[in-house]
Amino acid sequence: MNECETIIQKALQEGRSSLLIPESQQICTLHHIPTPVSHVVQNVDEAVTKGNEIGFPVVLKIISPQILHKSDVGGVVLGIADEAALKNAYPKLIADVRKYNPNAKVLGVLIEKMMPPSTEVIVGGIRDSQFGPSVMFGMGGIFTEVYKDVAFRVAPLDKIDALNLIHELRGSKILEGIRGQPPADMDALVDVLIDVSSLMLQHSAISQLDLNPVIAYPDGAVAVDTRIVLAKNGGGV
Amino acid sequence: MDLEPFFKPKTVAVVGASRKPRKFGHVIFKNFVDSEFEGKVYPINPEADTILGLKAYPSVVDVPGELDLTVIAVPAPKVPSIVDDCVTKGVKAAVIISGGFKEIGGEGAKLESSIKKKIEGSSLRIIGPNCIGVYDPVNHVDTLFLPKYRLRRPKQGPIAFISQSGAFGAAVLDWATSQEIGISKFISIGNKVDVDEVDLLNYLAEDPHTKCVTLYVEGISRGRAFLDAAKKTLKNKPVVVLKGGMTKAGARATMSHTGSLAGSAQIYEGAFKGAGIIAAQTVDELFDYARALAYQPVPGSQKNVAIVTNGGGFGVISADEISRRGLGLAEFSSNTLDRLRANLPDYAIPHDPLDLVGDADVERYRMALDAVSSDPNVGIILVIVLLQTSFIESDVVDAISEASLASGKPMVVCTIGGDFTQMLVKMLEEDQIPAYPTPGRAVSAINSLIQYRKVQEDIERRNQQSQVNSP
Repeated sequence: MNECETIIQKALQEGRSSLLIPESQQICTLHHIPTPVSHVVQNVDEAVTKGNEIGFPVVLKIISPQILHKSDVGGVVLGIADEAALKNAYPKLIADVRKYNPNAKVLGVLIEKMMPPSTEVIVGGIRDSQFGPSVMFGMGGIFTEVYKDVAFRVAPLDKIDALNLIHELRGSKILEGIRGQPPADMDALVDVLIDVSSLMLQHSAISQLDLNPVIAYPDGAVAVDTRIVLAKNGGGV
Repeated sequence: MDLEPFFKPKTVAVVGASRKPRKFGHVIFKNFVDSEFEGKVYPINPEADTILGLKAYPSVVDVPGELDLTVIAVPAPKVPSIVDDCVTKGVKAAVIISGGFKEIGGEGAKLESSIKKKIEGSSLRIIGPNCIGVYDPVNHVDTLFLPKYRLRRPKQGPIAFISQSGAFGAAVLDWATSQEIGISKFISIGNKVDVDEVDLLNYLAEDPHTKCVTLYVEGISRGRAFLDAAKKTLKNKPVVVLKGGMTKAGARATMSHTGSLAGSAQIYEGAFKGAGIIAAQTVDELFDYARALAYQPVPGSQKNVAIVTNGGGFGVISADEISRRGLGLAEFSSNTLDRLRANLPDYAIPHDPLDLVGDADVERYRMALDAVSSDPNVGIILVIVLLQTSFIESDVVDAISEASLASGKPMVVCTIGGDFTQMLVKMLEEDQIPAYPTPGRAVSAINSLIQYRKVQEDIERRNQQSQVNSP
């Protein structure tokens, strides 16, 4: 069994319906989807060591099977600028999560590189009852929330499919570079879409996947948050 | 082809053929007897000696010789035993017209699954139940139980039409007949106990009489197989789909952002686009697109549209519709401009949209269509011809048809009006020039041609890539 399936099967055996953030990140990495440099730490001292190693600014994310929507409960702290800020942020993160759910089992904290801002997009995977594994692409933020500027393709996707999908969005002009902004690295976005397509095809236990956002840079693209939801029965179409 | 016996049977039995003229079985049997169908037709009825002068048989097993197609029009509870008879007899294809199966649930659903079991492992293929079956004007196969004075049968043409709904299919056929629209095959698939849209697409992909496949579907039973069949078909002919039930929100657990955004309509749209299927949103669009795609050539790499009109307003509205869809107008070459300037009156301005002005006669159209369609900067021609002026006679149809044939470029017409216009629209239809009553519909049809061209370009690019990648 390959490494991804081992992670998925372990989660299913533990009765979990979604993967922990380090697990999701590892599956992405194994499928060549870039994610920020990160480490799992268990206390503030470890966090400081890793923070200095990664280089500031950094982000902290709570790791708990009971907390799916991390940012709703103060389980994510962004833009920690230096060691002093990290020392304050760490205990506050733990306390906020405890306050929200005293029974939440905290398995650790993920410390990762805070990625510089750029155009945000969203890439998703879904297992449709009619067509099976499918891939979503959307412009991030307000474009997705308000204008629902998203589009789908049924997996597998090749380069031509991925480019057609990107250009189908009304907001795709933003990626081509407007108002003096450099254009986004289309090849990198195409690669992410193709990788998500093959990820969804390979792992039938994954029912839904969010890479939200993926930050699109002039050179490269990084999935800064990942969520993988599992099918309870362990597989679908 | 295992579906061939549905469309090219040499022998047909009609189970439920009755002497009572209003019975479905009677109408179906009479349609075969009265038509130019060249094969043998047998009425099956245990209580009659002859029907319409032909010897009746108590069961299909009693019919002498091979039986290709059996049409079954008896009450649902009697159908399973007739299916047994068909299997025993070695019948190749059956159309079950009868309703009262899965669509009513309970006992009906049980009857339907019993039929499914009976044909497992046999070579019998079934269309239906709960359908109006097959209409093939090439081989004169007609299982429609509606009499011809109610539902007129369209002539032969290049468009195949598959409908999940029988009533919708019947209404469209009747309408198509009134518009002189020709059909290569019509299939109403009903409950799809066996043959479904995937089987039919695969069959129609190879059908030499079909140039464009249209489908009305509500649910697709085998999603991925359907996309594969569509992709295969699209290499040679376009597929246009009207999907009913798009607005119903898909029930879906939404633990992810993607899940909350993935309505069934969105996934269908993406699935169709990815496969290269042309999606129609309305009944109008289904046949507007199909007529352009079936009648006219695929555009070349040049996709800019030239508008030739005798009405300024329609020209302007068409230009708006073109830009609204992100399509381009043509920039006429200097040759074209010279020719237009030399031949048009001073008050006509030679640019796209090209207004030939209200006193344009057929000769002016002939000249302008020839000039514009031979211009390399023009990919597609939209001819607007308003027939209310006394300068234009019906030979404008010949001018358009001849220009269309000579140029090899797609040409569509926009015209609106009363009886005289309608007559010319039918003449154009005869010549396979699709005409539309509004600029919006004409430009949408043009857009479907461009969409299909892009699908072909993607196929071509993939072929080139696979050639590069293979050693």
